[in-house]
Amino acid sequence: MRRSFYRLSILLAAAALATAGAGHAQIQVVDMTPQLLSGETTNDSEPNLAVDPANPLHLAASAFTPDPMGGPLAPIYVSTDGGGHWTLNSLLPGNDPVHGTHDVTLRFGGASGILYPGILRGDTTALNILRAADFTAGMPATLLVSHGGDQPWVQAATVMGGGGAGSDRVYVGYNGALVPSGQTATIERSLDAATTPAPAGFAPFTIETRTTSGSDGAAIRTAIHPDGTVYGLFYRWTDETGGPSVITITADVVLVRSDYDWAAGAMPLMALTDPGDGHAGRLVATGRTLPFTSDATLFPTLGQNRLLSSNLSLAVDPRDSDRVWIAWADRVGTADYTLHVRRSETRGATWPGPESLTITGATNPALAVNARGRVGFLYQQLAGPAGSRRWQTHLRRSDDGAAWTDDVLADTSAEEPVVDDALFLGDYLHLLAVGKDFYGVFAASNAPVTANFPHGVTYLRNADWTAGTLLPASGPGTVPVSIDPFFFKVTDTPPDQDFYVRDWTDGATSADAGQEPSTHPVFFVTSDVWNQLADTAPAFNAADQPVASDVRNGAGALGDNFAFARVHRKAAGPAASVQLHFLYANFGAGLSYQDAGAAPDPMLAFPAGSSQRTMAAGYPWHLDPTASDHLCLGVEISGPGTSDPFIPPSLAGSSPGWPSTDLRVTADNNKAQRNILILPTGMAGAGTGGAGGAGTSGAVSGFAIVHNAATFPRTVEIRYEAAPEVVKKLGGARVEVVGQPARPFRSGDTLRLENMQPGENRWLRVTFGAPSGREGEILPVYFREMAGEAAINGFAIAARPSPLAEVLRHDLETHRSVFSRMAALTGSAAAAVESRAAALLLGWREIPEQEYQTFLREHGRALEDGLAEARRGTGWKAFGDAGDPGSPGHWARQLEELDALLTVRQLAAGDPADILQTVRWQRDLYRRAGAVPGAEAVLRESARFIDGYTRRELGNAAYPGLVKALLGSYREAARALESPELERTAAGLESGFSSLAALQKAHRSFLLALQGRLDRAAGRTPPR
Amino acid sequence: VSALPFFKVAAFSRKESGMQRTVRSLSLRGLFLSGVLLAGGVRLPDAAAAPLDLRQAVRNSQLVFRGTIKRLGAAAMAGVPVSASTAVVSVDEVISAPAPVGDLTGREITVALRQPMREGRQAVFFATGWIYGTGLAVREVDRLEGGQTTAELRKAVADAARRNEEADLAERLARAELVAVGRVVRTVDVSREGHRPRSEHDPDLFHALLQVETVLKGAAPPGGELSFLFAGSRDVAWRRAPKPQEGQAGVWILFRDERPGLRVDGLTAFDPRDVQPLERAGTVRRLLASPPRP
Repeated sequence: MRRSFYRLSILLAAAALATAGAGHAQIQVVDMTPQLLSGETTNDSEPNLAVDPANPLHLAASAFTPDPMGGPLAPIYVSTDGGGHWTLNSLLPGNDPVHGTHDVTLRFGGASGILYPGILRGDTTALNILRAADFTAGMPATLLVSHGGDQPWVQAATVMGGGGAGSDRVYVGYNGALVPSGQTATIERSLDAATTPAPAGFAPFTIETRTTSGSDGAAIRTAIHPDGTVYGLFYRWTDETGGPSVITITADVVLVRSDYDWAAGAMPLMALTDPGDGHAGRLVATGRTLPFTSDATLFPTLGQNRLLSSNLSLAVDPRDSDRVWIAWADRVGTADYTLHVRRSETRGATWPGPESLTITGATNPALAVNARGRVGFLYQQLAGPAGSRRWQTHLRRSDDGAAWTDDVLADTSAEEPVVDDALFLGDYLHLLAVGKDFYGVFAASNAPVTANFPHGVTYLRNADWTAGTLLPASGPGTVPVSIDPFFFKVTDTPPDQDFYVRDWTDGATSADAGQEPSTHPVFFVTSDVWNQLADTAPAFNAADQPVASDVRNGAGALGDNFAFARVHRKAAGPAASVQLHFLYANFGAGLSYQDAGAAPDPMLAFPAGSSQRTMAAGYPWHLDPTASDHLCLGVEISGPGTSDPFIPPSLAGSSPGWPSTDLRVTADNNKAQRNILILPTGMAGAGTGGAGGAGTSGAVSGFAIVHNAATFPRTVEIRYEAAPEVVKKLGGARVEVVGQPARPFRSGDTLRLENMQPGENRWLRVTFGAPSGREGEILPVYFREMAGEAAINGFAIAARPSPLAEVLRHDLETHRSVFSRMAALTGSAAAAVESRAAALLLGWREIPEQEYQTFLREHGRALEDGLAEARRGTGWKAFGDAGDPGSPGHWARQLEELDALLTVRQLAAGDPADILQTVRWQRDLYRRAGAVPGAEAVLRESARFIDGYTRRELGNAAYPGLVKALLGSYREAARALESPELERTAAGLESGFSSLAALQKAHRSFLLALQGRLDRAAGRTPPR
Repeated sequence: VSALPFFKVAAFSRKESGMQRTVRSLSLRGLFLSGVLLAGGVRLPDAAAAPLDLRQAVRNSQLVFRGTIKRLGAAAMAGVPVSASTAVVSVDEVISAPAPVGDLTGREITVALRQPMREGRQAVFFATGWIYGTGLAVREVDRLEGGQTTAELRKAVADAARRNEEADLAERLARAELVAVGRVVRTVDVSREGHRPRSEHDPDLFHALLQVETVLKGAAPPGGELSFLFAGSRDVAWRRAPKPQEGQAGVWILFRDERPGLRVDGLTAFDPRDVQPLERAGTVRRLLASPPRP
């Protein structure tokens, strides 16, 4: 009998796992109670949620859920499949057999994968801050801090650049112990929480600067922006009336802020002052009324849920730390509870216009802003007449704060179950955004009724949807209705409208499926954007990777190239057209992209029902003879209408991942880049003279630029790796920072490029010995720019063992390209002759080896001369490679060096690709400068330029106008700061309008001088 | 009388599959007869191995079951980190289990083994919860191998649990300032005397006036009455604290300064164990007179 019941419950569980009810595919709702615990009847309210930004398949959640077996550790909810399935893992100390923990929230570090829970222990009520290095392992979390306090609210981020790069910054807002001043709003902060032993640098500070009526409210919320801006929000209690049990509180809603420093200073979060009283902390709303008591028999309630003045939320736009959203609750009339949503575009300084939303009869507000700048607002509203009231859980979204969508995620009973502690929903829930998607959690009555979930729902616990009853894990009977936590995910772009370019393809069945962020460690080699020299139908190899050609530079048709892309969408859908925009950048890391070609962006038509299209004809673009042909190629796509645009900022003028606020290519599936330099090399033992033939003399070298695309000086870390079999085949590879000694290639090592100034370039050189791979085999070495353990960008330099004839032809083409470049840049007739000579020989269908030998003999001297000329003034010295002058390997290495030197000289004259970065740097320096004359105009015009540029509405053509408009402001600043260097460089700007490059160079000189002046004023070491 | 013929308790270490294994075996029948188990703890004849302390095993575990190792280095459900110490174990019989996990009999669960064990071997596992999903994963706390019957095991485990509970109560009684049998005659809300509420986690203190019948420990109050404080709050922080009602009779176990960080002036009863039903007065007396070993 038992077995038959068990079988029945399994069948019903299977039915429950199927989505119940009609719903939209882009909204997923899951009752998180695991199947094993189908018989549980606890009220698992007040939930919270964390999503690992580095791996959104990893989620952790919390609620008032006890360890099901009553063990000593309280559980968290764990999902490793993006929220589809959940387990309970017991790892929090102090399990209370009824509630697990008391208040609990949790967050992941930005890149570390480390989970930071903040709890009130279930056994002692002590406030604990914890760390779980592997939240799936079920090992007890490490205790970092334990003391008193209420409602710990955790936020965390990983520093992606600048000082402390890679460290986890964790902020725990809580209401601290009562002190005579009544200033209890507290934030406890660690600037390096991931690895340091307890207390991991945690230290509390108060964020209240005014007097209170005895304390602040319990809810202390924080929001962190990747640029280091930290916001805090709290209720300041100013008066209390009534009582003795139920009191009416008068409160202000106060916003505090720290600017770009991760709240690391001695007086953190004091940057925003109120214009009224001059105190730190902007009074966004004053004199608000709140009901409050701690007497559970008298709790003011909405439905069966208590109202305890804990309802605040705060979110900052990840694209722009100036834009901040807040929500709070108060009592507008005599018995209501009303939510208010407001937005500031000025870092909280001003709050113009009406409220974005005002919702009456609702509680538990939660805000989040996704990578697109779209704000989400989650709340729960009481509806219906007494006796049959409902809790409706709404998610509203808006791009502008005026027009809102409204999705009801759940419409569940507010009457059942009957609770005796007024903790029906709890004092909070949570909403967050990772990339474009919103994730959230809420508590609701768990009756399995299809109509309760307008977008469908999945129950992991056993349920009979026909009868509308819950079933036990096994055996007969039904289970009473209780409160469960419900997870939801809103895929912002419906799958049939979500177009993407693969970041990687490993094989026919293993490729990027449009995840954000994509998870492959090599996202810059096998992507679906590539170049061809002929506008012919694209081909794909056996691994389903596009067959790409090197880019070619030159005058006329010689410099003609064709960019291609293959585009997928997540699900077949109606006919649609996708716009593609191609860009290129110098080869390396941190280099800014610029538009490839002036032709209109191509459109790729998807017929109805199709989910993949490849461009049949390439996008024509031309590479001038002055440009190096060692480039990165990028693409960003936009779906039809407004359904699936790329996420601003555009790659134009930007480098993926920098300066700290730029979205990584991996985080936006509308963007992809190919960033690999392939060096054909001779095969070990094959002949005598092939480039890359045996021995050092046959080695070949590749160069790459490392560019500091941030707006502050920093140390750049480049980690390089290769598969063990590749290392073995490469044999004797070396890596060097140009100007420093070469070091043997050891996979996993890191190069530290210290104190790089904004816009500064340094060069890496990798030298391969004699590869022993198969013919045509690509032997890549990967270089990744690291922020802690997160790779934010990368490139690859690969050896490709090739037949001698192929190597020699490649080298001859490089000879043509490099001398063509030199001729175009310097006007050298000798260089033009060299280029023509190579072009002539390349015109032969077959080139006998002896012709190469002759060419080398006759043109080797010109190469030596060209190198000597190019090195002049750059600080480069000849590399000390042991070698055999006159050999093809030597020839190839010298050509690569000459190409690099030409780029060095070119960039030294200014870089139009860096114009956007220069303006961003200007904005950030002027923010630092504060009240410098002209700052207001500089900040205003910079913001306008940056906004237009990142949306691709403005380009470099607008740059001279910007600088011209600000010349007066520059001069004013130079005079006010009494800096001759500033005055000199400001004057230099006026004569820099001869070209975009010259203007950018002059502008950069001015900003370097300004940075030095500000550093000196701040007592910092001036930049070297 | 020698118990040895029945007292088939053995602990030994031996090599098995190249790994050091520790196996304990005992006849619970023998233990009952010998009374050793009832005295708490079992001293095994082989001093080289740690003795099984059944009470400790029961104290540290929530699930006791007889199971057979099916697969080593494996897990019975997704989401469990598999390692060399995880095993899929079939639950042959449940000895003791909390209700929320339902009847596990016949199911395969994952056990993180404390000591290596060979596939196909059966044992009684003492385990604590680890991961709950479509199935169950537990961490082994201790293990018994032997031929004892299910009824014997259930009785022994229940008895150990009862003794643990009594030991805990005895420890609490030892720390208490006053233990009395009496009846609550009045409760008074004193939560707002001198302060306004600051947090939903405030205890909302009440005074209970207790008419004392018998003082079991401590000084008798003058006039036969005393008052103590209790937490009226039903917030999560205090929900499990005693909520004495007027007219409620019982054994009251009262403390001073029982909660760190909470400054109260007077006797308090904050722990769920601080009020015991009248019918346990005898037990309380016994435990005060002759405390069991911890």
